Amino acid sequence: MGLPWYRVHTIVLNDLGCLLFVHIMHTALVAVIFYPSDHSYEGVAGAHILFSGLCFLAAIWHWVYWDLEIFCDNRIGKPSLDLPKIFEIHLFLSGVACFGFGAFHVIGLYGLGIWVSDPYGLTGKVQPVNLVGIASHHIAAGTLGILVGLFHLSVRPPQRLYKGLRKGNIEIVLSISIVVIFFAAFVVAETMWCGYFQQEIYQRVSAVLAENQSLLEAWCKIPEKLAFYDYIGNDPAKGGLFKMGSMDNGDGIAVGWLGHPIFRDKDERELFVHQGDKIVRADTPSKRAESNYSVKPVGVTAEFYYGELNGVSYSDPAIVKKYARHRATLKSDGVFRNSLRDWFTFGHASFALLFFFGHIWHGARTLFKDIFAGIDPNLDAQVEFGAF
Amino acid sequence: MATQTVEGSSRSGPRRTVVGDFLKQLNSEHGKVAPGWGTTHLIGVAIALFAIFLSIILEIYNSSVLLDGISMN
Repeated sequence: MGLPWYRVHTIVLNDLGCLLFVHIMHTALVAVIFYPSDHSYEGVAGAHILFSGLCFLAAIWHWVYWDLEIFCDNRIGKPSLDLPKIFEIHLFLSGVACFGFGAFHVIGLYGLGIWVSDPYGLTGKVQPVNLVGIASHHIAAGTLGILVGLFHLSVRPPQRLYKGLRKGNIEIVLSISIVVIFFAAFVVAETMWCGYFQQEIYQRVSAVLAENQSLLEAWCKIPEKLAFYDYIGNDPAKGGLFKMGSMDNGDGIAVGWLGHPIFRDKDERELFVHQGDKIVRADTPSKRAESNYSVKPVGVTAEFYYGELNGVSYSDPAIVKKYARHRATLKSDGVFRNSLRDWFTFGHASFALLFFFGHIWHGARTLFKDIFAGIDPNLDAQVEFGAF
Repeated sequence: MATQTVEGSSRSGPRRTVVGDFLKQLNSEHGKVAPGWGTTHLIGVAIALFAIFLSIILEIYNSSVLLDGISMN
């Protein structure tokens, strides 16, 4: 009868035209849902739709003409795929694309420059890339891909590795591909969880100050979304995920921004809320005997830039401590909500875990297939199951 | 289930294409391997070097490795 539902996609394995079709179609669909933000070049959007359409047509052609001579192995008269060679070809082509992207498109040597979102997906418009890292990384990684690809073109895998890693079995390719997905998902989930938003904010402020503009102008340029992501109440690691009940007053949905506070001691040195190995100049002591660095004698003041409290300065220790303690400069109505940051983290972490399980699943199926099928593990001949 | 087989076929074989003829050489070595361990040691060295490279750039970014002229702020 029919296949159980969890095996239905196996039908593409013995029909290579169909296998190619589903991969191209997937590419077509991914390309068509790529949606640049409002500030994009229409050409970028159009190019992706065109690419998607071509992929769609190519997919159909391959489905119709499934029986191609290139797939046929003359030695056995049946279809086969040389998987290590396919890997090498894709590695080489990826290397060329990566190198070309870095050397030409990003730098603007041949291309429109670069259209990217900033690292946090906040502005998503065309902007010049003055970060040397992006171009040089792609040039270096692309060069490595080309050289390694050429190496694998000329050298066949050792028999020990071919047998040990089941390189003739396409399911191992699936398992490894899944690794790439969950790795990327974990990286972005971790970034959103721990966040580099404060670092990004300070980098942007420093960059503007380096151009001899004032602090107010620097803080004007910080996008509200970035400040919101930095807001400690949204940090999943600080209980910001699925908050229930009020933990303290004044935390919840943000309705405004009071501004960025800069804390200074009486010598006009700028102080920062403690986040690592810095010299402690002021703190909130727990005992009167330890009050050398207490806020009042040190004379800490808080002055706000941008936001609703722009220009306002506080020297009353109670108020200064309140703002230092919470970094909570977003006004709120005391109601708890989730945030974009929470959902992003939750979603990507969940899928990363699922894909990690999937990697183990398909890897185990491949490596232990002969045992599952009841074949004698001492059997020495090169036997391959599900060879495609 | 009654099946009927038809003897003989007018098909001469799988379809040949221009692109397929160009690329046939790339899909002709299925199962070909180098004997024994081959270049396994070479890839082992490459993996180790890459791991060291990643550790270096991670620790530079993390300020666990401090280099003159590179400041992380």
